[in-house]
Amino acid sequence: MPHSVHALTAAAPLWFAQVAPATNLAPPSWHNIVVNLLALVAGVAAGGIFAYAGRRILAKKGWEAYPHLLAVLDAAIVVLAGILTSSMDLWKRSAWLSLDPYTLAAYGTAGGLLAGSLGMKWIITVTKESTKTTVDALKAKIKDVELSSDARIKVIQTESSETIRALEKERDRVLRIEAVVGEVMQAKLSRLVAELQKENGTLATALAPELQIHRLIQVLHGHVAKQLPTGSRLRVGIYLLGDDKITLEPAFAWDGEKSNVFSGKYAEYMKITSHGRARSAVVQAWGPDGPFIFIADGEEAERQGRFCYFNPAQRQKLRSMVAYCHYMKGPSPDDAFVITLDSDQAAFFSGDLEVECRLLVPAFSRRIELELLASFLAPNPQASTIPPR
Amino acid sequence: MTALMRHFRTVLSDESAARSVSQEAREIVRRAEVTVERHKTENASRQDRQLAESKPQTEPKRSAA
Repeated sequence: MPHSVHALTAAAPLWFAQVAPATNLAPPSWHNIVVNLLALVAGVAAGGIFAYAGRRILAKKGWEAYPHLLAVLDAAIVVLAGILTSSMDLWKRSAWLSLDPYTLAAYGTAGGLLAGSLGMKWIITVTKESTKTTVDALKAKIKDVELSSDARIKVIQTESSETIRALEKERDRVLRIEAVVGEVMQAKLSRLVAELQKENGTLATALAPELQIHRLIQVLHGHVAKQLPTGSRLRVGIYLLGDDKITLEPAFAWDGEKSNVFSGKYAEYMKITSHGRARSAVVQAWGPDGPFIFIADGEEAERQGRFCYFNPAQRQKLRSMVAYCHYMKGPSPDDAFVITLDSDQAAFFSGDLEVECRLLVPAFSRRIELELLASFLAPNPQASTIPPR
Repeated sequence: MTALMRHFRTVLSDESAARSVSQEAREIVRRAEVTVERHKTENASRQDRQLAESKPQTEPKRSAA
């Protein structure tokens, strides 16, 4: 299509230049008609060839996007057509005589049409280029915004997922503690109700604080032990300050099957006056480093000087432990006990379980203290008979 | 050692008491585990229900927009 437009543009002056004189200055004749038709065909052919060649050159050079080059090309076609027309006129008469008013009018009309078409083409091309640039810029911006939004959404989603996971973990931890404490309470309520239904039930028998202390210790053991892999071992221990007021002595130990599993042979590590590497975790918990001492990895802690094994065999049996000192509300500062949990599972008391133990062990210690005080204040079971209903 | 701590030692040294409650302690731990699982299931169901209830409310808004 562009080639035909160029061809017609080039042919227009040729045709006007030939038809006008032929129809107005000379009587119509077969000779004039043939000459004009030949001029038209020659103009169309020359314009088409020139336009095609010009376009090919522009395409080869990659200059198609430059509207001024197209304008130059079209102008060159007009100039060539003019030269050809003049040459044909010179064949008939002189060059100056061919510039009669009709020919000039034809040239003017053709030139105006050409200038208009070139102007329109230029405007359209520039507008298209400008629009394309604007659209490309907008597309690039939209893409940037989309990428940026996607990245932000991903970050928000990741952060939200992590927050949700952390909250769920925290909720499950609280739920586990609440469940075990609640079940201890529920068991106690059930015992009270059962005692109420007896003829000679007593409050002391119903509450049985001494038994409740053992229950609490064993429930704590069982609750933590269920988080161990099968085949691993867990012990819970209670240490009290001895009569010498220096040595912390093992008062109770439970491994899930039997009690008093501590040998108590290593009193030299249990003196609250000990310093440096000779101090056990129990002593550390009692002292200013307490109330909590977590030993995630015994051998690593030993290398760091924070922990000591009492004998080489202990390295296989005790790989991770926690010691917590519970100071009671009694009048004496010696009214305190250290509760320990130790396992042969390395890195057991770390991470989530460490966080859980920081809540769980004090909660159980407070309940043990409560039961101990109840037991201490009401030693005679017959003193608190439940009144008849 | 204070009288309270001495009493504590006496209570703790009662091995028969420890043995007598061991079964009950295991049962308490087991029930706590069941309670935790029940709560987790209930939480999951509630979250699913809330998600299902919130969907019909949000979808028409999107189509209207």
